[in-house]
Amino acid sequence: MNSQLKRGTLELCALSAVSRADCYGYELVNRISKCMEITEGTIYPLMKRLKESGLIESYIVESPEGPPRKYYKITQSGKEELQRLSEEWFEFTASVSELLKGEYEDDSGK
Amino acid sequence: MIAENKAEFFEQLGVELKRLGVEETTELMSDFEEHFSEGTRRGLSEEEVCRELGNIREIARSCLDIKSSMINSMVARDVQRKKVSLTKPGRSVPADPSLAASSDSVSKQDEDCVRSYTPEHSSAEIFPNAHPNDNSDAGTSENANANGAANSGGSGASTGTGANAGGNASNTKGGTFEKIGKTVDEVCDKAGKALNNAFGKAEDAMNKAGKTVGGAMGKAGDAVGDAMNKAGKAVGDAARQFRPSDSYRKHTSKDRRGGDIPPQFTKAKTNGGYKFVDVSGMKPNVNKGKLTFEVVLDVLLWLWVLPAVCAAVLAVFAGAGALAVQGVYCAVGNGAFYEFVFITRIFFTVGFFALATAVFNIGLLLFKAAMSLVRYIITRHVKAIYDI
Repeated sequence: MNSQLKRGTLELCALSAVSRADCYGYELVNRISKCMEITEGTIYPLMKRLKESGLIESYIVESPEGPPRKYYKITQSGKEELQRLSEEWFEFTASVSELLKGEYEDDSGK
Repeated sequence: MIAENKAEFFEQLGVELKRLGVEETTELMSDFEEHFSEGTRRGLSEEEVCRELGNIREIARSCLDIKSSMINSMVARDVQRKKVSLTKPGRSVPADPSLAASSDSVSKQDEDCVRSYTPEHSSAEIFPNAHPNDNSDAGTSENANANGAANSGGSGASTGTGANAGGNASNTKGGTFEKIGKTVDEVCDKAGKALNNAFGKAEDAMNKAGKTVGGAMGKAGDAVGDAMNKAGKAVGDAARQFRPSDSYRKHTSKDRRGGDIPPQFTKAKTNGGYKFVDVSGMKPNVNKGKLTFEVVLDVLLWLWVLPAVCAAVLAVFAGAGALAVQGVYCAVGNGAFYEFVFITRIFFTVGFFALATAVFNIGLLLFKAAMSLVRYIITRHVKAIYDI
């Protein structure tokens, strides 16, 4: 898949994943990497940036079976941003699909 | 660059972050620590976790607070330089599998293969009777999708070549198609090998021809070079015969300027014309015989000869002075002098002054002689002291 597309949509995917349920680092990385192939290590810096922008926040949960885990949770502004980005995404993909379908129809008509 | 263990990962990541000037990395590092501990808790090895996390340079770059478009161009540049791979490592498979090693059955399509060739027609268009979903051993999600899409008259984006498509179709229920596919494969394989052999032989022949031609040209070139060298030397020697003689060269102004200093001036060059004994760096080594002789001579000279000479010199100067005074007196003082005729008086006056000058010069010569005598004595002393 086009790497530029991946990069642009990673933020959107991360926000979406966290909005559905709070998750910790490893879980989030796993979830995203199942759907698309990315350099998984770049997710942590991304989360750091999202935290600095105030779109997500983190809290620590002590775990009985191991070290304390850091959970990510979406904030209100994060939800708004997610909403905006997903609208943009659907608009974008719809218009691109239209274009492609239109071209294909023109070609097969010849 | 992917690390092989946790320690290496953190070390390399630290280096890369420092290189990019990223500060405040403690939280990030603890995030990765957490990731590692979770991974190992789930049964993965450190190496596997490292591989999952991916290219360290890219991770470091994603920490930079720059627009994604810039990151894209940085990553694209690195991809071009083959430093970063954005997909998981996968085998690259030749586009035409008939040239691959084993082509008896259709090669198993690997999920992660990168195919560089897309056929113009889908397999469904070539073999319309092929069953859409019956892909036994050549089945991957990609291929099934492709066939399914082909069957629905969709895009011709099935991966694989025409031959491969033929092979795929042959895996369906239809024995004849299977056989046709196999024979096609074999024929292509044989043709390919034959072509390879033929081309290989041709290549060898051309290589040999090229080497011999190259060798011959090299030798020819060497011969020409030697001949030209000799010719050049001959010409140079001949030219040198006609060079102006050395004596002529001496008379050119350039050489004259650079030539030896005429002898009459060398004396003046060294120590103002006097020869001094250079005892710098020498240790005194008294020659007692010489020194006693010098001391005796000293007594003689310093106490007798020199005062006499000085007296003489003074006398001469005094005489010169007296004469000068007399001359002056003649000119202006003496009454009787005025009895002479005017011209006589002038002769007398000038005469007296001339005589005074001459005597003065004699006195000066004597003084110089005395000084050189003194210098001579001192030199003898030095020679006696250093035993030269």
